[in-house]
Amino acid sequence: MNDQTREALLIINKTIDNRKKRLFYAIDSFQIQDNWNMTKIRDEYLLIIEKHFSNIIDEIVRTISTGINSLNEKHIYRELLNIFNRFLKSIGIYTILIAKGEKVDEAKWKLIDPQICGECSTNDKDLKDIIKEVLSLPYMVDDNRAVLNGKAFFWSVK
Amino acid sequence: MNDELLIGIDFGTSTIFVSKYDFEKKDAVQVENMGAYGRSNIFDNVIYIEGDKKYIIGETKRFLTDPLNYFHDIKRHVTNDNKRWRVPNLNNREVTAKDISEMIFFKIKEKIESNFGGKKISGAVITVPYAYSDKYRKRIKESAERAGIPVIQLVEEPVAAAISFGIFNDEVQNNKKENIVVFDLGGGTFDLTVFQFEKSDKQHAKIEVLNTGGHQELGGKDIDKLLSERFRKEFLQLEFSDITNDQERAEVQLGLLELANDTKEELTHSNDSDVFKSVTVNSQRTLIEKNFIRTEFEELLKRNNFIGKIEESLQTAIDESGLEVSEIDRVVLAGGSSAIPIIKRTIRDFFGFEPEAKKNLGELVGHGAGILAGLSKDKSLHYEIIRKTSKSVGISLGNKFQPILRKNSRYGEISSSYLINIENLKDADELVIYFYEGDSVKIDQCERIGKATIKTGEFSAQRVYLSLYRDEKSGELFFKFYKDNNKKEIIVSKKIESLD
Repeated sequence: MNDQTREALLIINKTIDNRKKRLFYAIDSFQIQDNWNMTKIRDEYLLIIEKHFSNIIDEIVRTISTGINSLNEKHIYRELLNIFNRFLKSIGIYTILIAKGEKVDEAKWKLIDPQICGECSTNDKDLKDIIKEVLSLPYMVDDNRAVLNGKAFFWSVK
Repeated sequence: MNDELLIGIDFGTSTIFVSKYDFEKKDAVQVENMGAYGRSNIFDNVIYIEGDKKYIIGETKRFLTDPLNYFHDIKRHVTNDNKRWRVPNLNNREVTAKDISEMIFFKIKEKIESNFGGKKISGAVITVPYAYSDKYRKRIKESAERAGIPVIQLVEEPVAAAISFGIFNDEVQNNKKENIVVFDLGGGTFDLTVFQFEKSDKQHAKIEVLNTGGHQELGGKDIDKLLSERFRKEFLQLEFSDITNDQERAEVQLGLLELANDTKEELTHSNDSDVFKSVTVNSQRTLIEKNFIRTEFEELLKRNNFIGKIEESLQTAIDESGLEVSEIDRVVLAGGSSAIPIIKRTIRDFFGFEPEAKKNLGELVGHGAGILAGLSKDKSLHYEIIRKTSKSVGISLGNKFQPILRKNSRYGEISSSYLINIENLKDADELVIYFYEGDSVKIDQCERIGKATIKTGEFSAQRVYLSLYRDEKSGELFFKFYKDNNKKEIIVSKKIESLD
């Protein structure tokens, strides 16, 4: 394992540690308002949990993706991503597939965040809503809700 | 029981919040599932135009994939006559900010009515910033009406906040006059309102606005920028322009702003924040790692005069209200950024007591608007609201602004008369006078908001006297010409004409 991989693993550990602290704080300070019913309490609680899980997954996936894209020890990062995704699956968080060249319909739009892209401009109107490159997959929970949206470059039609 | 659909719309610069009046509870409740994909109640004031009458509101992500059909910050451009956009998805039709506001209101109406099983909106109260001009108010009302929303009235944001706070706060005693300050520090603007409040019960209250102030460009976003700059200087030690790859630069800028926002939120509740983020700059990984303590954050705000601007605005607002600081009974917080401890402390040190926050700060204004909507039909509510003009209105004398209706004149109060000499108009058929609104003595720093056109045949004298006033309920501007200075004989009295 080279120094950069060691550093990446250290970042992942620190990220988990850092975000865990914020999650516990958010749970501790969760306040139920007088006019909330059970559904509202559940929704608000889930929002907090999802927000913090989303932050943890985002940071970790980003660090691993950087490794997969730019370093020699790609296999380590791929294996790390598999382990991480398997762990998430065991607690009910799973990924769904999105692919390069896919035309995104309204249902999938809500699961993907387009990223700023320097070379995505096009005059071809047929490329509207087409994925140019997938950066990360959407992470979902049981009732088809995204905990973390996927990231992709889309063609930007001028 | 009346089951009309009466709505309050807080049409903010950054976000929108909608409430509905509940006749049984005699209170306004939030309308849920209004944002993109039905998840958020407070949603971003942005729109994506898919085609004619096909709009998506509250979703910011389209900005990156289809920027020419995506619009944000529309509220800031509503009064700008020169700002127009061609919309590809509308066959390159040219639209103004007023047109886009109409589309946003159209979608709001469609969503609300769909949420309530197709029931039509009977009426709506829409909020406007206190300091925004007459031109803005007219245009925003027309936009909503053209979208099919019957507008009961427009209400100033702090007045709505005052209603929401005062009526439902059991700590505000019945039959006791209180001087209250609404301190509203939002994402982009800072509004201060001083008003007098008295209620006999939840159905009977009187609210009199004494003064308004604040800062048009001061808010939470400025704090995020300050923090983000601090992280950039301390950890990256380079300018953003030094990052050669466009995507990398954008990611770093956005990443630092998100980190700043997270840090600000954590320091609002904790004494320190473990700041941690890895960013890639020019293909090199850089770690931002620091235990940031609250005092350091507060020093940053002080050093950059953020706190100074708040203190100055408070002093000016109280001075102009005619009250002493010691006469203020309560300070009510509104706007998400008001919860930051140093802001609260600044307010406490200024007034000598703690400010209060009773509701979700982002919902206070929309909640008040919903109550006002109910007031129009629920005859058991009796609220008297005395509003005052937020900026002087007058005419131009060369390069100078001559105020006639002065700031803080009550709605309904007719101004002192101003002498106009019409000797030189002998040969003209009509007299046209333009009206301006502002706080400056220079006319180019005031906004032209309307005009009066009078047939010269209506004047028999060489000198006439002009007065202005705002309608007590609608706030619309009217003018009166008198034959004499005693305002006994009216020559003509009309609503000021729009410039549109």
